[in-house]
Amino acid sequence: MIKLHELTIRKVHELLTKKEISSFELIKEFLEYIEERDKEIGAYLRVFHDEALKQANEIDKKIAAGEEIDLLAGVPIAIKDNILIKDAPSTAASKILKNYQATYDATVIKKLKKAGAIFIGKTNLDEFAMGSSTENSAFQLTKNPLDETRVPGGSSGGSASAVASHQAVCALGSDTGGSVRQPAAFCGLVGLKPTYGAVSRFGLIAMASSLDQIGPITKTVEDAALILERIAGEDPSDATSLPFNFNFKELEKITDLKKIRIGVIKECFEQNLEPDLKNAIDKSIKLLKSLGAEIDEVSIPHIAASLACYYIIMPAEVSANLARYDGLRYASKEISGSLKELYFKNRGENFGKEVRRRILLGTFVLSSGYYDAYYLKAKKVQKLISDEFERAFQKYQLLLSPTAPTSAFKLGEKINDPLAMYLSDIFTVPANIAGLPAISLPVYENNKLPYALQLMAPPFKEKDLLAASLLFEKISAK
Amino acid sequence: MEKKLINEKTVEHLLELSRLKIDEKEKEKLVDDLNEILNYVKELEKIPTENINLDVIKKSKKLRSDKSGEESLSDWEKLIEGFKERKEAWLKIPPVFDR
Repeated sequence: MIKLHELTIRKVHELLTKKEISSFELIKEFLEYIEERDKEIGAYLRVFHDEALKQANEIDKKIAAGEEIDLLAGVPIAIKDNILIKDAPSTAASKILKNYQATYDATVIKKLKKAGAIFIGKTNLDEFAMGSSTENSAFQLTKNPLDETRVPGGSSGGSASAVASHQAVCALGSDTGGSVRQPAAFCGLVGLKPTYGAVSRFGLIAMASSLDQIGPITKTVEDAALILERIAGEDPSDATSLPFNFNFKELEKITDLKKIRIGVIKECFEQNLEPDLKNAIDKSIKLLKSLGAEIDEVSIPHIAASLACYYIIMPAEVSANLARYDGLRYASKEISGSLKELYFKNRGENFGKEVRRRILLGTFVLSSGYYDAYYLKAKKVQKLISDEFERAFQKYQLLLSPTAPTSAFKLGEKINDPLAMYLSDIFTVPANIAGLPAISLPVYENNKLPYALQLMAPPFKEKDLLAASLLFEKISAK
Repeated sequence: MEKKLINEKTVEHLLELSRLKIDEKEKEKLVDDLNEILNYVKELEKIPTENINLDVIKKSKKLRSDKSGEESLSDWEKLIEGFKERKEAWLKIPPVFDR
């Protein structure tokens, strides 16, 4: 009997290559478990039953033929429903894409297919990835497997809860302002947002193109690193992707954090944090010190302004990106009346509240007479904040903060108060504003729900980020 | 007391521009929510940014040449498959201008 909750990428690989279980049997076991468990959790919008078993058969054939298989081969991975898989529906949890079937694979999907990973299903999210609790999905509610009265975080809440409830070994999410890291934090998992440009966005349904980035949600740092190794790299189909290779092997050479300076971002601790969160972070800092890291306080004077910048820049891009949903393309079913009536009918009836709010905000901040005061100002403050990070990174290799100001909050707690919901991303947004790689790692205190620690690194220094994370994970498990 | 940066009339104009509609009863809350958010982001005006130059682009990237790739048109049939009304490759949409 395979224990699903113990599986990581490497463990699946060992089971398969030692022929302790076939890929087909393993996937079948996952599918049976999902059938029961997901009635409670609501992580998946769609499960690829037949297709997953077919993929598994292919892997079994390779193993039987004695072919060498990739570490990811046969590993069931859950995919956020805003990432396109050819010929499968991709709704981004929006009614406006209810009937849409993707006509091509996202680049990350192409790469994972090549590795032999098995797409077990598409996961729930806040509509178009807009939200921090997954409650903005047009289709269903997702519960936090650690406490089913609480949200899984968002917007990649389905991906996080699928992994946390062992309905997948690992998952992909997307992170525009914290949507990989915050749900990972709320579900006690590892969430990695790569450097902007490290992973191709081709085939990711766009929300805010200058901030969006695809990243893994996993049980372990090693799994996150193994996925990054496979999905990273420049892509001619995404003009903002940059040449970047990440090699997992390089991490294994790093055995301590001597010569690593970590700056604890002062401003993140100036507000009233829950005492348990503060204690959990203090304990983590001690552990990092015991690994040889040199740690002291650093100031990013305008970091607190990141969220305000974000709520100008992001809606501005949202209003432009979502103009494409005209009620004609993407398999709209009702086409009647004049063109203008058609727009109003389809957009008015099929976009949810949060999406409409952000389109309106974006339209406002870009409109004549307000552009300079809002959008241009936000772009300037964004540059200011990026410069402050750059200065800090002249002295420090890594920066540290909490991932979120609280642990998972209750379902329904913030859904009617947009600003309160936005503030749950206060610590994650700066990495998107400055384009930095960042990782969320679970930390525990007396509280039975996990908190999380966030580490940030300079652009394309994923190696330092993940090496430190691996060592931290190892020492905190002791 | 927060400043009212946006009123019902402006919201109606924005709804028209972005081709959206909402229920009459949602409008009041929407105006309040938008004001709360705009008051929050308006805090940025206190930050001095006179010395920030946005014209400097650090990393310029070489863009690919403007030629279509191999895959670009192979799937065109798939792309229009979901379109409700069409005749061969022609897509039928309502008239753009009212007669």
